[in-house]
Amino acid sequence: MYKILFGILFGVFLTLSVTFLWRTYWLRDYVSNLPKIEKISDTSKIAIQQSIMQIKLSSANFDEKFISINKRLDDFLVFGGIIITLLLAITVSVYLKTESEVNKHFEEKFGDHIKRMADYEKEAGILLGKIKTSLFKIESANFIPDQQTTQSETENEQSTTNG
Amino acid sequence: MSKVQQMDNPELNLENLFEIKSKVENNTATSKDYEKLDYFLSAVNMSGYILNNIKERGYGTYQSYINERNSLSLLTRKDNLSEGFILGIITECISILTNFLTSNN
Repeated sequence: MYKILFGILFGVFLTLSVTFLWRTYWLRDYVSNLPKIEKISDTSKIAIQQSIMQIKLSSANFDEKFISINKRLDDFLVFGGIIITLLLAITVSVYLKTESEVNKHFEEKFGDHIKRMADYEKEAGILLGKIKTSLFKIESANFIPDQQTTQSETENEQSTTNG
Repeated sequence: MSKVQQMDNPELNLENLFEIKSKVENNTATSKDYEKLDYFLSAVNMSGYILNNIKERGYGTYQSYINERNSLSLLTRKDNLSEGFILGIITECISILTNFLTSNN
């Protein structure tokens, strides 16, 4: 029993001693550029802290400026969009209003004249249609008699010249 | 035998003519009425005369002419002269057919 306990203790001691030796001597041979942890003085600590603070401040300032520029750009785009939309709406409304006003004005001032002209046009068209149809009917009715009359006229002329 | 005759078998008489005339004057005539009138015109050797004139004036079909007559605004109308012209042709055709019927009777 004692032998086993001594054996375990010896094994532990051996493992620890080998580890210590490996870290102190052999590890440095393999990793030559390990940073050496030096003791930092208080003044340098303060300087480092100050520089870190300055870096943080400057980055904060930059972030703030960046955010504010973004906000201004957003405002510009939003207001620009609103202004353009309003301008378009005004233009369309003015156009529609003008169109309706012009139509109203024309109907008020010249509606009677236009109506009268349209009525005259229509009346003239009706008369033209009637004339055309009558002519068509007369021409189609007199087509054969016309030929007959022309033939009889030529025969009469020939007989008079001969006789 | 034409399509109209097969469908409706219209009879050329004064009653039918006056009915069509009143419909044309009151602007309630349909394209079927015009087709019927065009069919009646074959009795006086004027078959297709109305449709030809409608096409000549750029309307194409009876329905387009009816639509033109139904348009209310004077400013948007296509051609008042053509509209009147076709109306004159239709009324004159009706009067020709009326004369034809009365002279035959």
